[in-house]
Amino acid sequence: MNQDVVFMNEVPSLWRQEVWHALSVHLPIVTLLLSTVFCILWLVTNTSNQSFFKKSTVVMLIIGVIGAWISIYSGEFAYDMAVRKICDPQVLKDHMYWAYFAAYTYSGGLAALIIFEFFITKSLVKYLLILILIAGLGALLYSGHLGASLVYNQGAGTYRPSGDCSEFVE
Amino acid sequence: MKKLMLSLLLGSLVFFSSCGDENKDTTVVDSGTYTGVAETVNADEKEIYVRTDDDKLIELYMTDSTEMMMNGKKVMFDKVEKGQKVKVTVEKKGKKNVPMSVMLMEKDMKKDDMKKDDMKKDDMEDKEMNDKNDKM
Repeated sequence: MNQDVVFMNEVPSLWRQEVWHALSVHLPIVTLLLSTVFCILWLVTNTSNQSFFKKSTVVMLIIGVIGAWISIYSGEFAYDMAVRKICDPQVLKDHMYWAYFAAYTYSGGLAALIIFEFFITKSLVKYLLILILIAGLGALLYSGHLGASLVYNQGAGTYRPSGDCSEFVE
Repeated sequence: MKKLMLSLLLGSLVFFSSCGDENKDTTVVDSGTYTGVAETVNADEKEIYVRTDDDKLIELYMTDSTEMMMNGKKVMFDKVEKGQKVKVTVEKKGKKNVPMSVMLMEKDMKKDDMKKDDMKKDDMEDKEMNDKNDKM
């Protein structure tokens, strides 16, 4: 065997750009999902608990929307690298489309909440808010499903160790 | 309120209908060489959409191994222009096309070549005429 053609693999840094997306995306998934749940509970529960669920909706929605746009930003970086490595780029494009859809929908939900809080306190706005958040949740779950299929079926953003795992031996 | 809801709805419709180049109706072609025109050039992502002569739209992301050539020389991606004629050799991998080489054809190359040929012919004719005159 020619020694010149033996290449030593190196385990790449966990701070590489495509990993920032995985780092930033999970918090908004949880908080946005919870914002929808709390909003429904705000609507259906009795008056003594309404204040708690309303506050929870506001907090989750604000954290979620900010986090969603941060993860969209990090996703744009990851896109460049992932699209060249995966076998079916259409899944990545759909993932991106539905992620944008969810981010815009939840941002619209936050706008509706602000309108409800400060301008129009009619219950119609509250029902509209719930509809927006449910639509956002659908997009969020579908986008998450596509994201999972990108990672677990196509290995997007992941490092594939060598057959003998030599790079892990110190 | 109705106006607000309507404008929100219309705004979101306009946004989602214009949602990027990523969802163009592209085709994954068989491995081979194709000629066509660079319909869209995305410099940030080093990506081109090529409309082939048989009207298929191929999406190509340049990789480290993609050779980009012009006049027999290697060139950088920034030489590609929208509307430029290209000859691409692609490999079909899964549900995507990977560009192996992209040859940039010079604009109006045929006309330039024809002009050069005409000039050569004129020179030859002048030489022949001069030779004949010398002999006379």
